[in-house]
Amino acid sequence: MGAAISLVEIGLASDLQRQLWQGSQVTGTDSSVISSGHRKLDRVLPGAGWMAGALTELLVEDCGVGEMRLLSRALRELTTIKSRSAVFVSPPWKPYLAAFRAWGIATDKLFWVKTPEDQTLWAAEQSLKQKGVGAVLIWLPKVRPEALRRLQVAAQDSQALAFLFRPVEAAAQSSAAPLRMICRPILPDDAQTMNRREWMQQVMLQIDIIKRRGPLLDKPLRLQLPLQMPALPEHVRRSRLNRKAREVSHVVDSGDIAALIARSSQAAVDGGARNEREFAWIDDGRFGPVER
Amino acid sequence: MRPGSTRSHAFALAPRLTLLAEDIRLEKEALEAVALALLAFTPKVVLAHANTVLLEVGASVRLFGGLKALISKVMATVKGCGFTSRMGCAPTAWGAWLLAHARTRRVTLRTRIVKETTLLRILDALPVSLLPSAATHGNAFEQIGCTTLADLRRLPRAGVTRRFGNGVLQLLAQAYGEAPDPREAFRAPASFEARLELQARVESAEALLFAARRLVLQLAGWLSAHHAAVSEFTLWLEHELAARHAPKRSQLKVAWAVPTRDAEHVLWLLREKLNQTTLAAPVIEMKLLADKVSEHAPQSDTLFPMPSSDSESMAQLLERLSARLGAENVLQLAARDDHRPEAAMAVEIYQPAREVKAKRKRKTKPLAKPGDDPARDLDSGSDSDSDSDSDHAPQPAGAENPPPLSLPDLAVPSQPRPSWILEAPLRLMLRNERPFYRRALKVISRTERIEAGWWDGNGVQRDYYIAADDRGRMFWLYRERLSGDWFLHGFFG
Repeated sequence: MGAAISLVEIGLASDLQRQLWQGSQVTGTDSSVISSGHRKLDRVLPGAGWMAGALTELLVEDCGVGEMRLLSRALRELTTIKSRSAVFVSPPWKPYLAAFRAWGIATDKLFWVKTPEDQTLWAAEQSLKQKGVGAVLIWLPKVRPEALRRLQVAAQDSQALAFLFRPVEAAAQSSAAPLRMICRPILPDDAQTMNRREWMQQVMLQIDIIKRRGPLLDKPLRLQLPLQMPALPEHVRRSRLNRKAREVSHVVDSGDIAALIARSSQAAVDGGARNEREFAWIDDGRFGPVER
Repeated sequence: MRPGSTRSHAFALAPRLTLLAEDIRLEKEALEAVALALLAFTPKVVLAHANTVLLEVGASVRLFGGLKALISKVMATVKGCGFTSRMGCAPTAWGAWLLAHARTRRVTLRTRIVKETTLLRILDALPVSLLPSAATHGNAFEQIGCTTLADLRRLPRAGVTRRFGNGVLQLLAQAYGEAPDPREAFRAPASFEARLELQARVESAEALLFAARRLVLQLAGWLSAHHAAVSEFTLWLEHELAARHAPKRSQLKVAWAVPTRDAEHVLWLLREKLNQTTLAAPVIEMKLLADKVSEHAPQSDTLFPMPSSDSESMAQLLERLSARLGAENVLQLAARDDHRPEAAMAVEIYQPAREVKAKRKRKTKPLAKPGDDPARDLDSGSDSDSDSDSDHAPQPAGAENPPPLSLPDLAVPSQPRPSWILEAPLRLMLRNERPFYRRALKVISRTERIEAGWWDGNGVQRDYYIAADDRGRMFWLYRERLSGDWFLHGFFG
């Protein structure tokens, strides 16, 4: 082990380093990592984000629990900033454009490939091989372990993020994917008493990482994935926030909502933001709270 | 067995020998086929003496990633054409010729030379018998005690000229780089048509593809010689006459959208096509015709990888996918101006032409309106503007502000939309007065009424709601206004 560590320290080529992993630690950052856009999730993912060159298996009970909202920020970054394409291979239902547009994904970069069951793997492999593809999302209800291994090998050589959606029952089977997680929707804590409109902002997804390159999670992660983006467009919100933050930096008034925002954004800069709020990383490096 | 031995001698040594007559025409055709395929690497290809093809690669070395990479690519191409080759590399044409032949006879180890000084040394050590004129003079060179080229060069020039003619010295001067060596390059024919007689009758598509590879390589060479790209070709298959009514010829047309000259991509498309067809009868001969050829300039390499080059390779991927899965299965989504959810989106078969158009639009836009950044426009806009943005606002909000052209992009419907939508809405049962889909659903949003489409006969009158079940899954429901029935229309994925 000691020898392995010193090898890492003298600086292995990054592709070699990606293959070498020590059990005690979560793997380090890499240039091929795309941030998931959720701070909490990034903290527990190896490489602090979705990693290219590894198959990510998302086990969802039924599709339509929030799995796309989970990936939406990574897809937005890939399609807009990196202007790479995303390929959907045999999704269970028709993707609906309006939702993807609302998430800010460049919809001309989305491709929907319908496949018969026996061709899904082929199409996925082809898409993974292609340069210029940023993400490949694959829905495979039934798959043999050998086929999974093959998919992982294809993902390994690929520049693209590879996501595989399978039913929850597959969690018991072994799989070649280095990252596996179970995604389940959960009710907000006070669902019975909550204002119904508020519920839309509080939709939660429980993520249980059952396999990763790193120690196991002690408890499943809860992530808030609001159905609705905050009412104000992001840039307007940001500019107002900045203006207000500057104004109120010396005012002590807990009733002022702006002061609250300012304080919490300060807290985020300090590196806090533990459980209070979920912060989204915005492109130019400033923080903006996602409203609860 | 040596050249020059008699026929009876040969049969005495190896009784099962098969004698073949030399066919000059076929040999020439084969050599031309190789030259055509090699045009992919350099425009200057010369058919030289004794089945040798000379390539002037001085300008191509960098493009193909160094001499070593280029040589292996050339080797692979020649092998793909179905021939074995020996290669030599030198700064002069005759030098390369000599080295290639030296390699055939295995008289020297080093046959790839870049520097002229090294060439001098290596050439000096080569035997005189390599010279093309050596055969006509018998072993006269050895008899006068000159075995290597260095020996020959040391002899008095006048004497050599008198004995062996002027050609030998001229050749040596050209090989050593002391005299110019102009040559006429091989010209690609004006239209492409390549024929291949198969060695055996071929019944399987896979084997046919292997043979077709030779033709496609020639096609690629021909295309780069003409600065062109192909988007459709026909493969004529000549069948063996198995039965009287069986067709003698059949054709296979392969067409695609983005013209290409990439041999691998063409082979890919051909493979998909071949896998889908069943051969009428065993094939004995095939012919390739390029039908649609267009001008094509390859993209120049950039120092930093640009996304624009990716879009071309993306088109290749989508073409491959649609070649196997059918074009109707490779889709893109496009927005439509309609309030009805099912009409607000059109699913379109992927068409590369559309993408090109979009690209052009994007390019011209900044020219027309420099600094037209929608984010900044609204940012610096006005405070009153930003407040009224909160509700659904397809209409321009601030009347005093002329809205920027890109406003519709920003004004997304403020009501959330599901990421998955059902092709046909699913009618839901009611239990305890509540819609029921596997579990009881609870409506959590306000009504969003959509009434549209009365003008085209597909009118809808629906009240849309977001509903959650008791486990937290989110659904998009609607209620028909007239009948009061509940339908499931989508999932919030």
